[in-house]
Amino acid sequence: MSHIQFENQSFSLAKEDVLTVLLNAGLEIPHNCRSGNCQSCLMKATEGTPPDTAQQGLKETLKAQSYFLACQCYPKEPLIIERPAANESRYESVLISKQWLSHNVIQLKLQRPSGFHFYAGQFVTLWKDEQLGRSYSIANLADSDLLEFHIRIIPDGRFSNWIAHEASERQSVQLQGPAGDCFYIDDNLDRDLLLVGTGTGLAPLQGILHSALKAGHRGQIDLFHGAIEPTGLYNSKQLSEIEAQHEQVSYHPCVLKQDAQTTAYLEGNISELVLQNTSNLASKKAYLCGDPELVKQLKIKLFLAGMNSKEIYLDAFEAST
Amino acid sequence: MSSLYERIGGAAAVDAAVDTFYRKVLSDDRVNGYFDAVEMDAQIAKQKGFLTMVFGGPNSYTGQDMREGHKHLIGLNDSHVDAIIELLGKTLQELGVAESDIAEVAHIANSVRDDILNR
Ligand SMILES: Cc1cc2nc3c(=O)[nH]c(=O)nc-3n(C[C@H](O)[C@H](O)[C@H](O)COP(=O)(O)OP(=O)(O)OC[C@H]3O[C@@H](n4cnc5c(N)ncnc54)[C@H](O)[C@@H]3O)c2cc1C
Ligand code: HEM
Ligand code: FES
Repeated sequence: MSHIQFENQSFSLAKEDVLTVLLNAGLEIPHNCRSGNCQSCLMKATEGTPPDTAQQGLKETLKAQSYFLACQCYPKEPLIIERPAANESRYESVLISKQWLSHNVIQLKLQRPSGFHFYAGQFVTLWKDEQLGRSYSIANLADSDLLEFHIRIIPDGRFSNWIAHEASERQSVQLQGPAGDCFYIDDNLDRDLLLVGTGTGLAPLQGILHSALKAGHRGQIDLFHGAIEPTGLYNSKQLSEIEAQHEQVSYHPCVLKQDAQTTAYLEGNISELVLQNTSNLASKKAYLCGDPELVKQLKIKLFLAGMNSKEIYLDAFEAST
Repeated sequence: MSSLYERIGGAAAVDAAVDTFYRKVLSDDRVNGYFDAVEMDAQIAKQKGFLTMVFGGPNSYTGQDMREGHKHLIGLNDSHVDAIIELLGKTLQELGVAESDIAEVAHIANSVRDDILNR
């Protein structure tokens, strides 16, 4: 049993994490993943030391200021905690442009705040206001003044519909992060890479692909992009061009179903298509992005087929809870 | 004389063995029902704990921990323990560990059999 104090109230914790206790008490605390990834539930301890496990993945500057993730915090000692200071934990940005890439995917460009550093493929949490924030992966390279995102518009989705139908140019957006380990590392330019994404899972993969090419990657790069129907294969023209310009790149557009006449795409379940069309898995590195169930199952399949568990990186687009 | 853990190769051997061992466990219908594949990274960390222990390495597991840690696995019996020890042996063979050392690893695993089976 431990105790915390928040906004002049005291709480006792039996086995729960701090976020659960505060939500159960009816307080509005921003959160999304509840698994330590999105950093939306960031809070600050003004007295007492949060456990190390509640600070995993945070920037050193935030750790040093006793920031922690409420959903991962099982305090070992009494803590006095407060909401994060927006100016310490979030960046101010503005919307530069919006463009439809397909019937339900928008390319969003935001200004890169000064001092904001990231690796292409990492994600940030974008905030409409104090409460509504969602995570999105960065699709472009770090050398630009812009940040590019691919946002799929979900029916009744609060954030995605706000972006699609309300937010306009110069709209201010707050940005938190970056986070995540799904990005390119140039430790071995000859290693083969396997990039697999469904839907807007292409966003981080596009960032990873460009990073690899910029680093002069020589190993084979296989990019599988899966969609339900051909209309979902957005950016296919650019990707085909990249494939034509770079010998080591193969772009494999995949659809669940296509017209009987067209045979332009691989057809079927993307996991099976990946396994059928790749070999020598033991020596490859994989990046799997998009639908959470699909990427987790594919990780297991690739592991069982011989891939090293440490060489499989995931960017699972978990829905908010 | 060096210890079993040192002869096998210490933490590096645990690292090298864990993927192979866990892959065998997940592919084996006798035991895979007990192992969760979805939380793979967390499971791999736990299997490292298992390997360190049976390699005779530094660990703080007690027989009581083993009893508590396996109590919830319904229907666990001797055949499952035998299967795990068999997969462990195959893993070590693939890594080129000496038969005499493999026997010693099996002996350590066997020594907690009654705790694992809560009897
Ligand atoms: C690490 C990470 C990275 C991400 N990167 C991206 C990205 O680059 N591009 C992107 O488009 N999204 C990405 N997502 C998903 C994104 O964060 C939101 O979950 C998504 O945009 C829905 O938010 P919303 O507010 O529009 O919908 P909500 O208001 O949260 O949801 C509305 C309803 O739709 C359901 N729902 C939510 N997601 C889906 C879905 N995918 N399919 C079907 N139903 C759903 C919800 O359960 C709810 O019932 C990422 C998520 C994570 C965790
Ligand atoms: C042969 C002797 C065995 C030993 C010495 C042993 C030892 C261990 C150890 C040390 C752990 C890690 C605990 C932790 O750090 O959390 C563990 C976990 C586990 N063991 Fe065993 N084990 C044995 C046999 C078995 C058998 C026969 C099964 C089932 C077929 C089994 C199933 C599991 C499972 C499922 C876990 C993970 C539990 C969890 O997710 O919390 N073990 N074991
Ligand atoms: S990190 Fe806590 S809710 Fe996502």
